[in-house]
Amino acid sequence: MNLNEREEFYVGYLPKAPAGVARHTRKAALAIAIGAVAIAVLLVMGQRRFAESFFEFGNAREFEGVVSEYPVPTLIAQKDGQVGTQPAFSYYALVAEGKHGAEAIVEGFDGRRVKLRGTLIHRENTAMIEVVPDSIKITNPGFSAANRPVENLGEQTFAGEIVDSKCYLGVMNPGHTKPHRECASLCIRGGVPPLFVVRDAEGKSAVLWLVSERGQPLNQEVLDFVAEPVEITGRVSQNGDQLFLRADPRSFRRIH
Amino acid sequence: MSHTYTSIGWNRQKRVYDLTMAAGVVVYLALFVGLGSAIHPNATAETLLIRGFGTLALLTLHVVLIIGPLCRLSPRFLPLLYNRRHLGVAMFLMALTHGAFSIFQFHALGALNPLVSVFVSNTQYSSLSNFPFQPLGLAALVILFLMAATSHDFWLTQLTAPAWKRLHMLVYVA
Repeated sequence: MNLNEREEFYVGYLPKAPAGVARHTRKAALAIAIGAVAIAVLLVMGQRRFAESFFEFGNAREFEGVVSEYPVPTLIAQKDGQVGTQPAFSYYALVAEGKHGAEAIVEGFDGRRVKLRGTLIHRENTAMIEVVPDSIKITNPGFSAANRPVENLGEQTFAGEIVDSKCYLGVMNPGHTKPHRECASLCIRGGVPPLFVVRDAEGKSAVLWLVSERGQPLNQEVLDFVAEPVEITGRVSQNGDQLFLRADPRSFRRIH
Repeated sequence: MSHTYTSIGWNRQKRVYDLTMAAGVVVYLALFVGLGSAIHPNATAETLLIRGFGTLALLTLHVVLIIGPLCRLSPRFLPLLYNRRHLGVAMFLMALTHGAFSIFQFHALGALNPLVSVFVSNTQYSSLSNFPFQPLGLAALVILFLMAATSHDFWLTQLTAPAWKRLHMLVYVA
């Protein structure tokens, strides 16, 4: 500081600060601003990649198909065309609005052909519909489908993460790992079906619907393991393009 | 002689201080959300806003805390100290926005009361790596609220300086 600046005395309620003090304050403010901008850029660029998952919020559409209540509420819709000699089908898991499952919505509709309105949620090859309340209508009262054949793929052991399907597939991004744990726990507690996400060494992922050994929904039983790396041994089955993992939660093993 | 309290004793320097602070907040959030959307097209607006407000509150807290030591080093930093109170209250509002957004995003529309859900959705209180961090954030927000609510000369007088000081030293706990 020069002699004039040493003589300067700052008084806040006066209209202007002394020239030297004002000059120094402007420099300090500029330094803080530059630092804040730099930190913002670093933080933005340091964020992990966001998955390509989608939630068509505000865009409810009509869907038609056959309802399957178990093991995961699903709408099986026939696609145009066929695969080989068999018709092609799309499988849409069903959930209610908010952090709730769709068991109450689809109760009594198992095997029936219905129309419903809902919002599409999808990620890679897995799709889900958030059903608009009271929109399910039976389209063919005399129709009732038999259970579709399930292919058993044997007992296997996987390492992965339990997530809530609704957020993971698109309603939230990211919808997995520790920052999302509380939301995932609340969703699964509310009846949203849990998914088990497994990844190979190259980072490619696959998802399996996690159900009990008897094929019943799992909710409260898995809350302690949500968003943690776990190893699960169970029987894998395939229904259409959906994979299911039937396992006993008491055998889940945390891996570190 | 009597004394009348006013909510804020405005003057030109305080206005300049607050306008500069407001401009900084807008620029930071616009940069965070705008650049975030450009670099991460799959990111949702609510995620970017939650992260933007949270990081901005933390950054502002550090600025608030460094002003005191800077003024000890040189009296030329006193203009930053003069209206530090407004900076602190603004920081609380940023933290409140972050907290409110987060509670709505992660705890609302479920089977539990959102504030109950904050404490019971993750019960790994005995784990270090999986310790629930959201209750800690809520506790910090409560401390910051108490500090913001008592950020006026009226409370400094009513609580007496030693008690008021002890309350505001809780910023280090937050």
